[in-house]
Amino acid sequence: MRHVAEKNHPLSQPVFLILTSLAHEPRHGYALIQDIETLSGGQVRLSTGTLYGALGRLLKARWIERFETDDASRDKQTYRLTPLGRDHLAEDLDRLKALTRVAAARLRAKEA
Amino acid sequence: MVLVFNLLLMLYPVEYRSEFGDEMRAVFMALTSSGNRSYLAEFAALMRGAVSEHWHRVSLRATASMAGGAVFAFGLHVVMYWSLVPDKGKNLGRVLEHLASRIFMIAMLAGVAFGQQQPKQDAATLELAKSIYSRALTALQEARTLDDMKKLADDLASPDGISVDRFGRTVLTRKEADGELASMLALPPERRVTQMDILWAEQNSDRLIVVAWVLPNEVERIDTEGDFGPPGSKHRLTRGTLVRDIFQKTANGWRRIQHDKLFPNDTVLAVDGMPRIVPPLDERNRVVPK
Repeated sequence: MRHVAEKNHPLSQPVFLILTSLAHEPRHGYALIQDIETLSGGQVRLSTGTLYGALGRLLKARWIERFETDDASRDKQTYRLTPLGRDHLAEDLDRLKALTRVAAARLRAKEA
Repeated sequence: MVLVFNLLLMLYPVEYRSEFGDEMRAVFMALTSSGNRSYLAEFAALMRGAVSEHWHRVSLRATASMAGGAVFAFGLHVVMYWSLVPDKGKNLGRVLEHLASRIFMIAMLAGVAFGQQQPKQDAATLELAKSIYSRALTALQEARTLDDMKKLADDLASPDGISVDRFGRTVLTRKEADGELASMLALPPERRVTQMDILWAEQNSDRLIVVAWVLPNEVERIDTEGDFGPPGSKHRLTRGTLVRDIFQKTANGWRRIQHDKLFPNDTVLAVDGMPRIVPPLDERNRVVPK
């Protein structure tokens, strides 16, 4: 399995943003791209190739799954976070929080 | 631009296209119609993605095997060339030209050979089929009232759904099936559900077919007739029946319109773990031209 599923490996930015977006509610591909653009303040615009490369890896790792909706056609599949994906997102969030705490403390120490 | 997108999509492995191609095309069209996307960035990402998908599908064994074959073919070619072509040592340029044309031919033939794809199960369709049955089986197990049973029947089957036996006769209409819900409810929950092994699931725009073994169960039997070995020996038999379900896409989701039972119940599928229903079978039953 590629890096997406490796334990204790920091998530790539697209993967982190996809998981974050799906943590709120199930979404299909286009809605994911739009939501990620919004939640990153317009800084991240995922391309189709990047999005589906990441979705494919996340499906294989069972961090996300397809979610059947009434209008689930082949060109509009909806994805949702699995408990496993939620755990990995939470883990990475803890890692980022610890990093930001250290960075903030060092900045404060330097300024003082 | 969609044409270019489609061409670039062809760079992806076939199973990847089969799983994500339609979605990717729809998302690309939605993105570009909104007008705030660069075609160039999209196309570049597609090319990167295609290389990445191929790279992660390359197995070491296949690569080593292909490389070994290529080296062998190349070596053989050089030996044949030097032993058969007159005056070959006189002109190195001519030698290289000959070799290049043959390497091109070998590469082209290899491309054609590797380009032949076997029918492959579409992962998305398989997941769709599994989710439909999984939901139905869970609802069947959890049903407590007749209304629960009616709801699960409505969620699974079309109002005009039919069951067809292996002779092609309609043996059960939806109305008749609904009449049996009460007797199904009377069974303990664990006895209402069964297990399915999906063999093949295929989908087009509004139809889904699923072929599956249903009721695979194992029993131990003394073989008195000598069907599976010496008479009197004990065997572990795996039994089941083959079904084909056809679903129609409706505004409320997928609904089963036809359920075909293709084999009798309890057809023996395997004896002591050895399959009995995959080719080659017994030569006495084989059909060949006279």
